[in-house]
Amino acid sequence: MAEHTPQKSDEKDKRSESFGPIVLTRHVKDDGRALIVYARIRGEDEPVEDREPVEDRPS
Amino acid sequence: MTDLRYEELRGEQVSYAIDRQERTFLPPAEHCPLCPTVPGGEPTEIPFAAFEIAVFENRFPAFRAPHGAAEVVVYTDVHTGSFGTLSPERARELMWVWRHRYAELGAREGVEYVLIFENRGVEVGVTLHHPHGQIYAYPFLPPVPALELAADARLGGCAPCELLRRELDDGRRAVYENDEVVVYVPYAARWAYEAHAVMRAHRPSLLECEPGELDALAEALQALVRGYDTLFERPFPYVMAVHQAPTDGRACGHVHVEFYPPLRTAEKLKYLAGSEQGAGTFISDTLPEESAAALRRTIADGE
Repeated sequence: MAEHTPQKSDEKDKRSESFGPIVLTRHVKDDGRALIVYARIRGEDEPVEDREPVEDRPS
Repeated sequence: MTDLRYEELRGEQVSYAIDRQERTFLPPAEHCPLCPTVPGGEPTEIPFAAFEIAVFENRFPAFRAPHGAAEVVVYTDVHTGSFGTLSPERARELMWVWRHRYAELGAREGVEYVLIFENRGVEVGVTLHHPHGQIYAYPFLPPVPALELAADARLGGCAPCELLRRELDDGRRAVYENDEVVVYVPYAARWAYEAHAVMRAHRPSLLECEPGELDALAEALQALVRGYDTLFERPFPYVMAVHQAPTDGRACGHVHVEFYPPLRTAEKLKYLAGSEQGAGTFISDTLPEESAAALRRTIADGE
């Protein structure tokens, strides 16, 4: 198996962390490239957009 | 593949990234790789139906690990618009994304300089219209930041601090100010509408900025870009470069954002020709004080 096996960017790859007033979620694209999605941390009464993965770009 | 070669005559590195010949070139909106992936639609670089800001490794990198990095920063999931039309909230969020990428890329072994930049408009070589910027992490200190360090030595301290003091004393070239940031056309601007947005306080990088300073930077940059668009009543092309401290451990640098717009009139471009390329000396047909006055008016009108 290759050392860097491309991974599907699905739930199991997600890692979220906060950085100041933003939260970032890390993903790995099909071809192994990193993708980070950033969002502003909202108050409890603010809606959060749905950001479920749809499909990654073919490598 | 990427390859670095050192050009002895000029004493500078040249990066060969031949894969970039194949990169996506001005696709129609329906094939934009920076748009969100619509369920059932064509996959894009960002596999989500909606997002705020996304950063990914460039598919056609000029630099790549372990010898640097090249990333794309997508400002919004909306295909149209620009940095200037982002909501103030999104622009402030972008400052934190820049800060995060500077911290993370700068911490990588062998990365000596992180440049956050934006090319806007086909006039400066944009290949995708979707609002976005880029980040290069260099495995060496590039010539322009090296020149700024030389200016520190020449002026006996932080050059941007000294130049800001001079500009505030003079006052003729300042085009925008808030509590934390001053924007001015430099005394010896090379481009007709070149502008520098400089933090008032000495902050080597975005990491040392207070949250309020980041907010003020976003506000200043948007005011400038909107002023640019108003100036000739057309989208104003530019190259924007965020200058910060090198990440090679040197204690120096001062956050400032430089804009190099190629337009000298509404229709005429400044070209880098014989003197600029052959001798390295810019010839300008516009006085910085005059372009600053025009820019100051358009920015004030937009406030």
